[in-house]
Amino acid sequence: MIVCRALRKEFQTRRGTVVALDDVDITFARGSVTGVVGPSGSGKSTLVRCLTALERPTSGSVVVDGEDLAALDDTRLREARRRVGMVFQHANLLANRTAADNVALPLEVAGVPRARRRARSRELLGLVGLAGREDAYPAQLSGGQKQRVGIARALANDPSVLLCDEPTSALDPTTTREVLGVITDVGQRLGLTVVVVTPEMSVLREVCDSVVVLADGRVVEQGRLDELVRHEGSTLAAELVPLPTPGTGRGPWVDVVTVGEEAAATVVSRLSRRLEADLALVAGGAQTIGGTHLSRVRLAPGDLDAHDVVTAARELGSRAEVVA
Amino acid sequence: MNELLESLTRPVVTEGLTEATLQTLWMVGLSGLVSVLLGLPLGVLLHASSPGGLRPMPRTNRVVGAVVNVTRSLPFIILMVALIPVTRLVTGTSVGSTAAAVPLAIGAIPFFARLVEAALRNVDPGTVEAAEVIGSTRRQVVTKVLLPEATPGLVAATTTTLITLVAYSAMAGAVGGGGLGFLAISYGYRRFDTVVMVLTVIVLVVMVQLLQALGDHLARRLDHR
Repeated sequence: MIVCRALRKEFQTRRGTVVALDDVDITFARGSVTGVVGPSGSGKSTLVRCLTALERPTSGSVVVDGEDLAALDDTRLREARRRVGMVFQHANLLANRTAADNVALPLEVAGVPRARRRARSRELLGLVGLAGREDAYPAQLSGGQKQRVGIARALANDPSVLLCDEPTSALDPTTTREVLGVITDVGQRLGLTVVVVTPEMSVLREVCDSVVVLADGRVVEQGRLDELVRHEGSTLAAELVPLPTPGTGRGPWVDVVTVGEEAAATVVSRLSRRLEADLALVAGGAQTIGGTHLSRVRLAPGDLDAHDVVTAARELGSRAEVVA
Repeated sequence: MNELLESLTRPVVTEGLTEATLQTLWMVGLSGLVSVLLGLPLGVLLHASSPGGLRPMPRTNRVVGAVVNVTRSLPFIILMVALIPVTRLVTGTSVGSTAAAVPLAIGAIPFFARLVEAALRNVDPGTVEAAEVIGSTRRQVVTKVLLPEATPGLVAATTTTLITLVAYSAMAGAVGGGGLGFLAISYGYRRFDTVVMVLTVIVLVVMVQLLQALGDHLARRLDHR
């Protein structure tokens, strides 16, 4: 478990002080898979660097398994880092080491004897589905396989936290699914606190049960995904079900977000009945997120007043707004 | 034809050339070894102390960098003469191949150090970060990540340094170091002995080609990228 309290990180630049993280409070619960999302420059990378103690917070605390990283001296900090396994965007494997020797690196650094290192790296490569590839060099592995080696390496020191920094941003969609599968699988099997930093909403949809939304160095939303999407005022729901690019035609349109299995599927026909008019569907999609069904549709009001459509949709329990 | 055969069997060719070749190899080998042994840590220091390095030390970096640059900006022939007192101090004499190795090494150390620095800079910073995240000490980052990952580059740097030393050693030969440079000057230049001149050139070309081929082969074998 990781708890960030009043975490603040400033950087001094020539143009003055830049606040990368501002009063950030987050709890990453044990056994959960938390997605950290936000646009670039929102503080995601700084947060990651604070969680691995590569960056010291300006103020506030990062407590991993009850130990405040900010309060440790260099030696104890190095030991504490071993409790957080890290997976990188580009795997960051050593090119001149075999897969097995890459996985063994953290053990080597920790002073584990050679025989135990060999056994452990074999076991870990098996766990991520790479048994038999122990002697392959990274250049001989595919992107997905490299990332699996990266995951195995992150697990070498028996960490309690698996921190993944944009683990799939450099991968194609099929490989992305494969790597995300491995992450959730090992997370569950080993009972890890998994943190996945990602700019991709699809990653959030597929593997996370909790989410932290960052913007301008602040936490703007956080909580369980299934609760957040139901929550009125959450901008996350709309982002999780992105609209396909609508065809030609001009607004105003009405965007309607509906939560719940029945409600999400039937919203257009119910709305149409209530207004006693045909509503044209401009764009739309439906998703299941953290076990919750969700639909988002963009409707053309036709002869009706867009605001009447909004009112009707809200009366049906959906969230609705006019978009130009 | 007979004349050529005759000139090829003279002692200056049969014995002199062999001896000169051995002297050159000794000069290059000895100074090369010292350059690598001292230039490698110096290169690591330059890399580690640079801004954004493992342990940024701006002042140390600037001072070491300046010393390296001054040494490198002196033409070797001048450096060699200027270093005669140092050479005497180290070897007790300023003539002979072993004495020549002193200025050769001092000239090559900063050269090699800069090449090492460049090779280390080419190591993916992501791998360094990966090593830091697993709790590596700085020493471990150097010995387990930086140097092994830079190995092909370090081999290439060593090759380049040795070849440069072959060139420098010819200059050292001109002022008392012996070797192929001395042979070329005293026979080829002063006595217009074209045969010796040509043979010297051939030996030097073969030597450099072999060094380069060996270095390239080794670098390729060690490179798993």
